[in-house]
Amino acid sequence: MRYSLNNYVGAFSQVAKTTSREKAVEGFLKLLKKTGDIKHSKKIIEAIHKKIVNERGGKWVNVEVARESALKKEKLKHSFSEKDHVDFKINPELVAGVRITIDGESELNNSLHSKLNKLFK
Amino acid sequence: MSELFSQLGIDWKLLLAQGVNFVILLFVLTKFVYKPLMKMVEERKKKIELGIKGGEKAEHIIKEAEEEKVGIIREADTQAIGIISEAEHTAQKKAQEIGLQADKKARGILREAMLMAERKEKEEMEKVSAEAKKLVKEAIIKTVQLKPEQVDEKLIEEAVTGLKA
Repeated sequence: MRYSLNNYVGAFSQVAKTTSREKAVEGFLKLLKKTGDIKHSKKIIEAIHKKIVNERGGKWVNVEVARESALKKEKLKHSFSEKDHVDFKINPELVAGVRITIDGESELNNSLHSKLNKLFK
Repeated sequence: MSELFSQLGIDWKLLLAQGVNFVILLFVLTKFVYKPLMKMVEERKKKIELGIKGGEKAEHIIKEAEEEKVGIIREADTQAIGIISEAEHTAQKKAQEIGLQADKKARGILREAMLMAERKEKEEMEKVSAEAKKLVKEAIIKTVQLKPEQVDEKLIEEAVTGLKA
């Protein structure tokens, strides 16, 4: 990448404060094309999204479960506030249970895989 | 006087002649027999004395040599005993050192062998333990996969409780 993620996020935040969101997005995409970092757009947009979520007081949450059926658990869905951004992902390696990562930092790993690893260390 | 001689039957002329004869004989005997004989006897005596002295001296020398010999032999004996004793001592010391070294080496080898055996046993145990853990883990996973819903439910509920806390 020509510029760091923080630089792009900072630039977008500055532009979004002064102009409308649509114009800001359009200008930002042009900038990415110009700098050649359009191929990293997914990563950059995710970083911007995280920033927006955090600014709204929400958390960026990744929820991994072992199988599709686990995603239907109501308790899991209602554990987060509306401000939070929750990504659900199926990871069969977990065997059973769930792994929750908040803002890429704190992790609550309550999967059977983790429990077995701890047990048979 | 001559009457007396004639009465005694002594012819003084004859006596005189015999006296002269005697003197001459004495002189001749003294000059040619007694003196050389005495000289010879003296020389012989000297030679014998010299021989005796030489013999005594030789005897003395022999005695001294004998004493020296005894002394040398005694000294040599003492030295030999000393050397043998020292050699024995050195040999004992050396044997002791060799014994100690061999003992140390043997103990080292034994210790190393024991350590190696322990290490090997530990490795084997770890291997068996790892294998057993793997098998148990796999068995648990397979068991859970047969009916995962309950386990999922329980673990998710725990996680949710954890999140709230």
